Formats: sequence, structure tokens, C-alpha cells
Amino acid sequence: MNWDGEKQALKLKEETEKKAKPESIHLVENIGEDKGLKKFQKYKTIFKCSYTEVKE
Amino acid sequence: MQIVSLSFGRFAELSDLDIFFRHSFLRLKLVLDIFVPEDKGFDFERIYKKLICFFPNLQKHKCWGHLLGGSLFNEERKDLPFQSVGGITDLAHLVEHMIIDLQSTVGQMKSCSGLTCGYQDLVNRFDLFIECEDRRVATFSSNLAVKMMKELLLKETLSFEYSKSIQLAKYLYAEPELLSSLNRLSQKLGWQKEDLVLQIKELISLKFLTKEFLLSNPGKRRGKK
Repeated sequence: MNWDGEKQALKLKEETEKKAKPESIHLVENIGEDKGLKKFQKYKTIFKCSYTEVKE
Repeated sequence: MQIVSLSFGRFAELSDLDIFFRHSFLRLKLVLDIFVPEDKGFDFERIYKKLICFFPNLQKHKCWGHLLGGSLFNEERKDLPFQSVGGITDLAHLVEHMIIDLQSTVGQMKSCSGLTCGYQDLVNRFDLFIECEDRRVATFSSNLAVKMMKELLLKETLSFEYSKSIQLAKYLYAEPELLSSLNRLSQKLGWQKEDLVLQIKELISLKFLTKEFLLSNPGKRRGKK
């Protein structure tokens, strides 16, 4: 990344951190039927992934 | 892109969510911040195709997604073997798949599961939870995956040297005693000794080879977690 790119990335990081201070994290209620997800209301997206080796 | 923290534990609260996590396995939690300058952007398809050269097994991975109030999956990306929602979420998700793949390749894990969780409010932050058998391999895999992704974002290409790092780590995990004879190791790999020394330095910087490991008798460390 060139110097301008680094400056821009740093600025973006600072702005994002300013916007999303820890105290602004809130729990969203009634997010859905899935009971298992209720503990994870701080997350917007959750992907479950796996890989199992298959001998060919 | 930067690693905010890397820790190990059971993270028992996850057991309700992910039926794929095996109870007996330790888990890695990697907190990742991803920042891409707006004017730079990235071509995800191009990034994915570059990575396939280094991680051919990525195409055999499986994944499922839960979206909590977010956008729909990107219907145009059905060619990808995993779920895609677009934007930096796809980058974090791909890093998780890379770590799973590296642990399978280097650490000989026959099976490995993981989660990528994107925050509601911290739009650039992601928590990655991944099963692991060996902390050293998990740390190396995380460091290497993030380093490769950063390079792809900045240069849009990847050095072939990364495949050498993966190959050397794989050899040394399986046969740590090889490190006691650089001549034998360079012969086995078919590399010049200078290349081998460079790659050993790389494995030190990626925390695969630790000071403790180098000072100990590698032969005694076989299989030690």
C-alpha cells in the first residue's frame, strides 16, 4: 500500500472506531426463532464451516 | 487487515451454536479487523482464484450461514464453494477457511470446523473460532493466512514463496528432527541451503518455529502439542 493508501486506511480505522465505541454495542432482541443464536446477538453474520479430509 | 487478538480456550458458550465443534478439541479465537480504503476496493473472485493455487482443498470445504438482520447471500456467487455476502465479510470468512485448510495441511488435522462471526456494530471486526489440535500450528496458520490476505489486497498477487513456507512447516511438523540437519533437510526439499535459511526465518516470524523449539531437541518434540 502506498503512503496515501496507508493514511486513508488509518483514517477509516479511526472513524470506524469513533463510530463504534464499546458502549455503543447493544443487544438486539427478538432476532429470530433460532434459540441457539440468542447468545450471539452481538453478531450480525455467522458462518459455520468445516473441512473433512477424504481419501480418494 | 490486522489481528487484534489471538487466544485459545474452550469458549463453552459456543457449544450450543456449533454442533460441529468437537468437545475434546481446543479452540482458537482470532479477532480480526479489516480495513480496505474505499478508493482501492478488491476483486473477491480474483483473490479467491489466486488462493486456490495455494489451497486447492478450499474447493472441498463446506459452510452454512446465519444472517441476523443482514443482507441476503450474494446469488451471483453460486460458483463459490462457500457462502458469500459480499464486502469485507467475505474476506474474513475466507481467512477462516484458509486457517482451517492450513491446519489440515500442516498439522494433519483430518477434520476441522470453524465459525466466522461479523459484529452488529463494529462493521470492520470479526471473531473467528476454529478447532485446533496444536497451538503452534494454529498460531502459524492464523499469521500466514492474514499475511497472505494482506498481500493479496495490497499487491493483488502472491509470492510463490508462501507455498515453500507451507511445505517446510508441513515437513517440520511431521519430522521435527529434520531441523537438526539443514543439509539433509535442503536435500529432502530439493532447495538451495540459502532458500532454506530464508524460509526458516519466515517460519520464525510466523511463530511456527519458536525460540524454545529451536533450543530444544526437536526429536523429542514429535507429536507434542
